[in-house]
Amino acid sequence: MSRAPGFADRSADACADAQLQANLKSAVLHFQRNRAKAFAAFPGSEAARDLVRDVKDAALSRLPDLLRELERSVTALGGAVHWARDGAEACAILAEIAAEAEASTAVKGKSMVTEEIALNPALEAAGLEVYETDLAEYIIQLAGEPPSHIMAPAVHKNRRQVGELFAKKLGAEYTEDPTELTNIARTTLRRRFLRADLGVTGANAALADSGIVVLVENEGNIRMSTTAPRVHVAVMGIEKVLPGPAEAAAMLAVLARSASGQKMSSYTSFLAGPRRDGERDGAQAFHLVLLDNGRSRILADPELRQTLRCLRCGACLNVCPVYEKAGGHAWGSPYCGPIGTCMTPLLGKGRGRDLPFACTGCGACAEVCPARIDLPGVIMALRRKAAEDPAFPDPAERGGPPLSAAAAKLFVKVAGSPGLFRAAASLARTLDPGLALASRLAPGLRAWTRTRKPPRLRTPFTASWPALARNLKGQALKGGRP
Amino acid sequence: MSDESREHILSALEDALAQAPVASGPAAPAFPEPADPAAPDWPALAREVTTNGGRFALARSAAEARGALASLVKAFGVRRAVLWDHPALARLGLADTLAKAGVEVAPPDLAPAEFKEAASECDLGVTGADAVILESGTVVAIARPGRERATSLFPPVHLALVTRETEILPGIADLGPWLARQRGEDGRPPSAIHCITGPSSTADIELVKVRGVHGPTTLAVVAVEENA
Repeated sequence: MSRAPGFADRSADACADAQLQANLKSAVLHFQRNRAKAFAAFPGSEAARDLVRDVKDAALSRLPDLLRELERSVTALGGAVHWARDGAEACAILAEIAAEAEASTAVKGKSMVTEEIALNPALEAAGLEVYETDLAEYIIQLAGEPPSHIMAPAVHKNRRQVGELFAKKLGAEYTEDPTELTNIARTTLRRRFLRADLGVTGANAALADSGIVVLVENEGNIRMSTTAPRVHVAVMGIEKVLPGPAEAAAMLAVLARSASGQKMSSYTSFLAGPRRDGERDGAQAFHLVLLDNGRSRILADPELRQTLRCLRCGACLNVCPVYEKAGGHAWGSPYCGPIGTCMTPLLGKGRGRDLPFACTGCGACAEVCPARIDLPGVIMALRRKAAEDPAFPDPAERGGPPLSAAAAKLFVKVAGSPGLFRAAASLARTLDPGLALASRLAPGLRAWTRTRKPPRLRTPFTASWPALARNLKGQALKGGRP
Repeated sequence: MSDESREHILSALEDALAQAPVASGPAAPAFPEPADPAAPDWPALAREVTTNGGRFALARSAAEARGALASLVKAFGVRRAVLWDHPALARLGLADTLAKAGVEVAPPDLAPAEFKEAASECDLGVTGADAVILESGTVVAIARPGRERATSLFPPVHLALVTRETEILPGIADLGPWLARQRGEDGRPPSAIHCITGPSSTADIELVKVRGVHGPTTLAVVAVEENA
């Protein structure tokens, strides 16, 4: 019986990769420490998070009006606004803009949304040369791999792998010095920037009152992509519109601190339409592509709509125990970690229905979210919805919990009656030697026991408790997690 | 296609909000009180700029500002520079300093295509900050004719002057009201405003911090007290 690989398969591969495990561990600790330091030195941080929650909720509650206002403002600046219901429409719009501009090369700033709509293959199919320009995105584009972290997409690669990749793909002399490797990318990409016709970016926000697009980065590649090419296209999820600059400042006060522990990222750009008369750089034409791709469906659900507050800082990934072990690729989506668990199934296409079940419910993500998204609550709601409706949110993929509804009902009945429970326990003890064998033979049971040891039932729990208690106490004394 | 999609998306959003309105309406965002204009707190700015990996110097006269530029030219072996058309640069006589040091300055009348190439050949870009944020050590630069975006981006060294034209903002939150005031006579905001917080940087290879990716390796902030 074959089935499409899911989270369990992909995470098993990740857990078996010792190099990846080491990279992940040091990366999440690094980001965790930086964020913790930044917030410890940030008076009023809790009020700042409340403010972002309220700002985002207020914007979402009048989303259609803000989008209309944004459209008017961008148009008044001489820019063009395009609306895309899904990824395919967005890609077609970009291809059309490129064709009209007679563009042959495009440079891209790092953006989650263009990963979401799989823009690169679409532009390449339209005959464009497309270059990722964020260092990590460039590395994984050369390697032909998807990103594995919102903030650090190449976190799964070490310096030797990058050195070998640059030697093989760019003909550079092998080095594993990060500064030298960065210089190789700088030199190669500088020529690309100066010759590119089209610069494609995402957007951290757009301001309805002025038509300003806000872009946040550290490397300067987004500034290059919007300064050198003739045409700038920004692709933005519709949930990112904000009323004006006060709301943008509220977002900026927490964004970089949550993402990297900086007070502000190296570059925050406020771009308002094409360059003006007499200016000698900046794009001559500006396009804003507004993407729905499932977001209006998310807004319709009061339990799930808080997902749309997300600033894409990546803080939730870095504290997630599942992310630390499984890594970003296990999500099979550009959005990974707790926010990926929420976003991926909601974006539809039948992807990621199994993701909400890959959560320990520890709640660490909610502790750090700068927009105060109740990520564990959303994940539990997704589980419930998946159990209630096998077609939720999209009928394309059958999935769901390994424990069937019937089994759950039976357990409730047995556990609810002391007599039945004792009888079941006694039956289990009698059958114990056969359980391991049965679990290997019965396909339904194997799904459960593949990653779990069958319990030893012959010894009653009361008899094994003293040893278990000693073990737990020892771990507590060592300060380890039981 | 786009018109039909526009109607589709807007009506889907309106339906979404109508069928599941926010129960009591979200709390009105409680923005922090706008801070009073700050006095120039150079030690605070110096601390933040250097924390971000930049260099900071305080010049107590025009002569000291010229000296700071001359030592930057020497330290980085600057041979070509691109300058903003900015009153402070003219007032401080920086072009003379560059000429004396044998530095070639990109001509102000280059056509856009030539300007792009020329700016990329420069070792130094000099701008005058429109604002600074003390909380984060951020320099804010507004693009205008003669004040190109590339000047603070293409060359490996960026010198940003903090002068009497520079507004001092205490915190990141003060960027909101400041941005709201940046509207031209036609009511439009400037085409580009860049907040620059330290040199261009990355940590994409094994989380090792590297300065100077696509933008400058060095950010030098020189605060000039002209009438002290």
